[in-house]
Amino acid sequence: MRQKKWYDKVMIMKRNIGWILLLAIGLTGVLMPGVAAAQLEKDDLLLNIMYSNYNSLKAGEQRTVYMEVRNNGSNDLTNIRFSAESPEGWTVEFSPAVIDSLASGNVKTVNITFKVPENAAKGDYNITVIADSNGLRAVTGIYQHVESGSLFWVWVAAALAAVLIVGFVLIFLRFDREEK
Amino acid sequence: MPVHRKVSTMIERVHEHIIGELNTNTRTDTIFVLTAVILNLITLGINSGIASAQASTTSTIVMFTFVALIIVINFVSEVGLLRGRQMRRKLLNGLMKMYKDQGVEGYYDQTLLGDYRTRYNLFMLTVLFTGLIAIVIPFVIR
Repeated sequence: MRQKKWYDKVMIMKRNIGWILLLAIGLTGVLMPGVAAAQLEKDDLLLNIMYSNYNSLKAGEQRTVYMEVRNNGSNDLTNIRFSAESPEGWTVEFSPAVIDSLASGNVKTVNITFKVPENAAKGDYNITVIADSNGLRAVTGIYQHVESGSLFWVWVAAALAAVLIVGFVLIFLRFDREEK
Repeated sequence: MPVHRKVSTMIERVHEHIIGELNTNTRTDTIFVLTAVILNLITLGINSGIASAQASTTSTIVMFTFVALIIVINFVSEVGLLRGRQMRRKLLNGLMKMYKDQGVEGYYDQTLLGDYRTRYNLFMLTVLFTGLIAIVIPFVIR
């Protein structure tokens, strides 16, 4: 008798667990399409700079590269503004500086002109290009190698070499005279 | 001890002394040449490394410090080699006089003195040119 009561209780619990599981599955089914819908409506901006980073520049020179701006999202983007974080003394200009509107799936090209300052030392530099559109931000970078434009250090080397040669000749002549 | 035997012993001693001095002279000159060339090449490597990196005030100061080191080392070794050449000439002249007194000067070719001079000049040119390269190349890279 006791055993039968215990069996009934277990069966009732099993049935309740079944209902809870059913409820959970139902809720997931309701929520999942919502999540999927949210994923469909996304904003995405892609920046692609077309250039060869093997071309080096000399101090004082400028260069123009082309940037492809692609709206990869599902919504149209408006008021896309461009800015750059560049090394000290560098000037970076965008043409056009603002894209008023870019429909979903569309591409526009922007010219980026940057100028290396006259006093730039030889080395590798990075320019960070930023695009902002109503809270959406996309970032990319330009790597640029700069060669020294001036012959200043070559002249310094020539002067030092001249000092060494003149010093050597003077010492040599002095000792030669002593020997004679 | 008879006088002529005493003089002969003394000449032997002087001869040994001169030979010993010549050996020391050779060793010292070898050290001068090797030290200068090796230090020049090491400095060339260090300064070239600094020059190919990003330029800064610190790196320029370090480069010029090494250039000062090159100049000092080259002058010291050039003076050392010139003094070595002078010393060798004096020692060999003494040796020649001794050989002449003993009547054996015919065994020593006098042109060897000129050969030593040429060899010293070549050593000095080697030191000078490695020094010049060690100074010029890093600044050209920069």
